[in-house]
Amino acid sequence: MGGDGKKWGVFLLPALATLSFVFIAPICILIVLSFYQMTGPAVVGDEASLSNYVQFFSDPFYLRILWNTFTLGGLVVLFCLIIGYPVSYFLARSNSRWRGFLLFLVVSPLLVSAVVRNIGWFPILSNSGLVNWLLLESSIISKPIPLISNFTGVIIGLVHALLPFMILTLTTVIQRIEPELEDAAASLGAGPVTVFTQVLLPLSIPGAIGGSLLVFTMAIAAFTTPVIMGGNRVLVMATYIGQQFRTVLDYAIGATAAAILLILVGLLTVVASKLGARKVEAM
Amino acid sequence: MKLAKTTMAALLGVALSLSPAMAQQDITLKVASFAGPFGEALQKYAFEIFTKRTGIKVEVVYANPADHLAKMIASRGREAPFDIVALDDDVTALAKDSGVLAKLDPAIVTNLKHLYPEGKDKDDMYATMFYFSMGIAYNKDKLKAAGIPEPKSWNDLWDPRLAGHVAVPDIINIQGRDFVIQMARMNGGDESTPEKGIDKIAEIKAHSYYSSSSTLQAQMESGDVWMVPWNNMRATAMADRRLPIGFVIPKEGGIGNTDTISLVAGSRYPKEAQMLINYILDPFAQLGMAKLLPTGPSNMLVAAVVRADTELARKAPATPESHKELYLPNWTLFNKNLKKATDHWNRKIQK
Repeated sequence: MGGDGKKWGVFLLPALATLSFVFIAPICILIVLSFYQMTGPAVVGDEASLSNYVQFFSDPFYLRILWNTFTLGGLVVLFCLIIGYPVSYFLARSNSRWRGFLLFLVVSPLLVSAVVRNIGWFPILSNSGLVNWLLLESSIISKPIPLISNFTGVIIGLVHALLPFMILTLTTVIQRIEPELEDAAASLGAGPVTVFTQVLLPLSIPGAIGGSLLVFTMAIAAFTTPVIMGGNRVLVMATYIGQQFRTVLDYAIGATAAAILLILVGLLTVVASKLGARKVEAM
Repeated sequence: MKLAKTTMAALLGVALSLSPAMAQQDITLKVASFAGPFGEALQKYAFEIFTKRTGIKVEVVYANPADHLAKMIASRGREAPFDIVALDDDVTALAKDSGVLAKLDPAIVTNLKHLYPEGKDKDDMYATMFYFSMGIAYNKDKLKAAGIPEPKSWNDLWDPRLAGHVAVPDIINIQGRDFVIQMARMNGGDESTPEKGIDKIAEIKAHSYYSSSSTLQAQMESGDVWMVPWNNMRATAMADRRLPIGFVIPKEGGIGNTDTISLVAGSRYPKEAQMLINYILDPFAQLGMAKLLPTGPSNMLVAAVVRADTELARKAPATPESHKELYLPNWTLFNKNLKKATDHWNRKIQK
């Protein structure tokens, strides 16, 4: 097997070379940039220091952007879990002939571009949109609730976009849990709630962690959805980095924010995968 | 024998006259432009006809001005990512100062001498393509239904009855910067004190902060947004589609903007690129863009035609007198404070 691996490893070289050129090298340049100061549009000085990082972590403004970003990621994960779990359970256990169609519906948000997907929410969520119209007509509310061009809009947009990742990850894991385990628990007198909390949920935790991690990292890195659905009112790390690089041309502080995001996501991935592994071992 | 000689001479003549055209057919000029109606107007009134006449092909790269600038800066000192770039005037000033533009040759860009003096760069690093204005666009029906009079002053945007119905341009785009400068000027400041304008803007109970005209257009049509600082082009285009959209230059004065066209430093085909720039400044292309967008042409040769066109005069700053009614910002000064302005905007408005 080892010999085979070496032989086939040669074929990995082009991919590795490309990746290091288009992915690793730019990230290294980015990290280096973060140690310098902006001296003009798209220009940095030549004195390296940690001052950008000190500034970032000592200014409540930057900490608030970081807080916004992680709160957004956390809420998106939470909603994806709540909405996604029942769907995943159905997909994993059902033999219904509608299963294929439902699976198609689940992955359908991935088939449209981010811009189109977000713009599509406007007629539904705007003040004069479908949701507010229904609520107003049925006298549940007296004036429209802002559901778009704010933080709520960003959450809705991201949950819509990232739900497929949660559902697909959870479905794979639930499929691997033998249905007989649930039957056995039930035959021993456990009610549906107990079966869920004592059997199904603990066994599906690795899937939940995997799906959550995937959704969280994609949510905090998202750029288009916060811009369109947030009405430029919500500043998260990705939009801040974009703004600094693209319009202010302050590569130094943009690179600092990018490096911080990268490191935090890296740490989180390590912690979450350790956590997932421990859960599996404990079982 | 004589016939043979004549034929040879004729053939040689044909060959000689064809050779420059033949050579040019292999050239493809890359133009970085805005997407949307502006891109369509350039394509229709400039690129297609230019290609037909010269055989030089034109390929367009669509993006926002800031992205074009970032690309030019990133490839500074190497081959240019495109030969020609169309920019808003705020980014033009930044591009000029960043040294990514090349000087235009008045011997090739012969239309330079016909441009309005206010549309010329003293160093010939860019040429103004056209003028447009920033004022207030509003939904007539919604205002009427709410009993709010149509706006006459910039201050009308702060009307408490408009809470949640005003869209504010984000500082990422030129309308946002225009608005910041105008409010700074009305509050005892100028381009060097953007914070004075931003503090005032932060008091608006905004519906949202727009960065894309197409999103805003959808929100104007749906009736979510009732009033917005916007440019004459998009607002009058909506009115032409029989939508209840009005546009006004407030009594304190509007802001004048220009879109410019420049040769990019490091272009492979500087001569051909300047031929195309000259063509864009030609009366035909100028009138085409003026009618389609609508904009005020920069070429004085079309002044008489424009003056006779009352509809255009109503929709766009088309005459030298109308240029004078608008404030043309000092972008070099504002750009020196762009970092400070964006920082202040982030802290005051994006929460």
